[in-house]
Amino acid sequence: MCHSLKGTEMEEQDSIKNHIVDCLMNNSSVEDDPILEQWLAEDDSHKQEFARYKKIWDESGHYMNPEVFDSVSAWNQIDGQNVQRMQKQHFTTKLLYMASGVAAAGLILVVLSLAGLFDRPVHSAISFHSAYGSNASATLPDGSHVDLNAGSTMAYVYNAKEKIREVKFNGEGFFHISKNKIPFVIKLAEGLQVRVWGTSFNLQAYNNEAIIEASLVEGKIELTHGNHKLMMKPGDMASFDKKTHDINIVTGIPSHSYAWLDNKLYMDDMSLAQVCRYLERRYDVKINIPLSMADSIHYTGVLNEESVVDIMQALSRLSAISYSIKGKNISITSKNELPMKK
Amino acid sequence: MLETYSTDEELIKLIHDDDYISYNKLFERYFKRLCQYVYSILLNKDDAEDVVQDLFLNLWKYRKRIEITGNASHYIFRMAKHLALNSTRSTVSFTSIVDQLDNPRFAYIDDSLEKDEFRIALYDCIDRLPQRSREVFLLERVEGMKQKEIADKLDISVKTIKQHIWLSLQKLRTCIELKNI
Repeated sequence: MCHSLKGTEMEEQDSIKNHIVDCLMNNSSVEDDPILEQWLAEDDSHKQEFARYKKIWDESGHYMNPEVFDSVSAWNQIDGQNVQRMQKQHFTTKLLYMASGVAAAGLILVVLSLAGLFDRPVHSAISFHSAYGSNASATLPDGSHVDLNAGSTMAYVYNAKEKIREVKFNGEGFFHISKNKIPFVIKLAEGLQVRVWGTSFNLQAYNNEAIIEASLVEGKIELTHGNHKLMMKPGDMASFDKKTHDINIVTGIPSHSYAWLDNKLYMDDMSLAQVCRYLERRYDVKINIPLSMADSIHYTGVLNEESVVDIMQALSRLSAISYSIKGKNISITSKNELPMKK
Repeated sequence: MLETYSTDEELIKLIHDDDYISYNKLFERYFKRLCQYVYSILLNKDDAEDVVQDLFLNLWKYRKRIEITGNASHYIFRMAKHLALNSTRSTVSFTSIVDQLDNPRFAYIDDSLEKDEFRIALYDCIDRLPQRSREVFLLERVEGMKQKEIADKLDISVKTIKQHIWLSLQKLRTCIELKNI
C-alpha cells in the first residue's frame, strides 16, 4: 500500500499514521502516547483531523452491509399489500354504491348526491407514466401487466358506475390482461374503446399519430366506436383512423408491431416523419425536418441500432439525407438537390 | 435501454399524483440504504426491514398528505428514524409522525440531525472503499476482531492490516468531506 504523498510530508504522515492507527485500534488514551500528544498540540488542524478519524472510528461500529437486505422480497410484500388495499377500496366503494342504490327507494335526492361522490375515482386511480427516452412496466391491481413504450401515460381505475376496469391511455403498450369477471375497457382518443377479455395485445395510440393500431396475440379484443364494432381474432391487426373514424382490419406482421419490446423498429413503407416521431419518443430528442421531406421519403427495413447517432447514420445510408446533432436537437437536411423518392 | 434520471423531489411529486412506477423507483433507490440506517439504530436486521417496509407502505397510503418542500432525502431518512424510534411503541401512528415532521419547531428540537447525516454519509463512503481495505476495516470495526485474528483469517501481516486501516481512514475522511458534511 503506497500513498502519493511527497518528501517531508510523507515522512511526517508515515510516522504519525502508525500512532493514530495504534491509538484507535488499541482504544488507548492520547495521553499514553507522547508523540501523538505532541503532534496534536502542534496545530489545530491536527486536532481536527484526529477528531474526524475518531468520529469515523466510533460511528462505523454499527455499520451493516446494505446487500444483506432483501429488496426483492420486501417489494413483493409491499406491492402485494398495496394491491390488496386498493382492491378493498374498490370493494367498499362497490358496497357503498349498492347500499346507496337500496336506499334510493326512500331518499332519491341524497342517493344522487352520494352516487356522485362514489363516481370520483380519486381513491383508487393509479397512473403510470414512461418519459421520453425510457420504457416502463406496470402491474395493475388486478394482476394485469403492461409494458409501456417511451412517452406513454396510463390511468387505471375501477369504475364502480359502469362496473368495469377502466384504463385511459395515450402512447404505446403491450398488455397482458388477466382474466376477470369484471370487463376491462381501454378508452382512447376520439371515442374509440377497446374491450378486452383475458388476453395479450399491442396497442399504439399516441396523441400525435393519425391512427390507432392494435395487434392481437391471443384471446380476444373488440374495438368499438359508436355503433361500429370489430371483434379481433389472434393474429389480427386493426387500425382506427382518427379523422374518418373508420375501423379496419389491416395486413401486416403482428410481431413487428411490438418489436419495440426488443428495441427494434420495423418500417414498412414508413415516412421519414413517422420514423422521426418514433425516435423523438425513444431517445428523448427533438428532430427538425424540412416539410418537403417529411412525407416524401419512405423507409422499409428494420432499425435495431443502439444509439440515436447510429440510427441517424443508418438512415443517411438508406436515403439522401444529412443530419447534424446538437445536444438533444437533431436537424435533418437534404443531401442533394433531389430528395430520393421511393 | 436509456433511463432518464428523476430527482427524489420529482419522484415524490409524481407519487403524490398516484404514479406507481415512480414509487417503485424511489423504493429501489432507498430501500437498502434506509435498512442500513435503521439497522444502526435498532441493531436488528428483521426489525430494520420491517420498519422500512412500513415506511414505504405508508408513503403510498398517505401519498396525498405528504408534501415535501425541502430536501426529500432528509425527509425520508428522518421519517425512517422516527418510525424506528417509535417501532417499539405501537401507539404512535404514521400520520402523527407526518404531522410532527411538518412542524417547524420539530426541526429545531431535533439536535441529532447532524450526527445522522454524518452516519448516512459514512455508511455510503464505507460502501465505496477498496474491497480489501473495506474487508479489514469492517472485520475490526463491526466484527470486533483483534489484529491477530484478522491477520490469521486473511493471511496478511499486522503491518498490512494497519496500512489498510490507515488507507480506509484517509479515504473515508476525504469521501465525507466531499459530501460537505
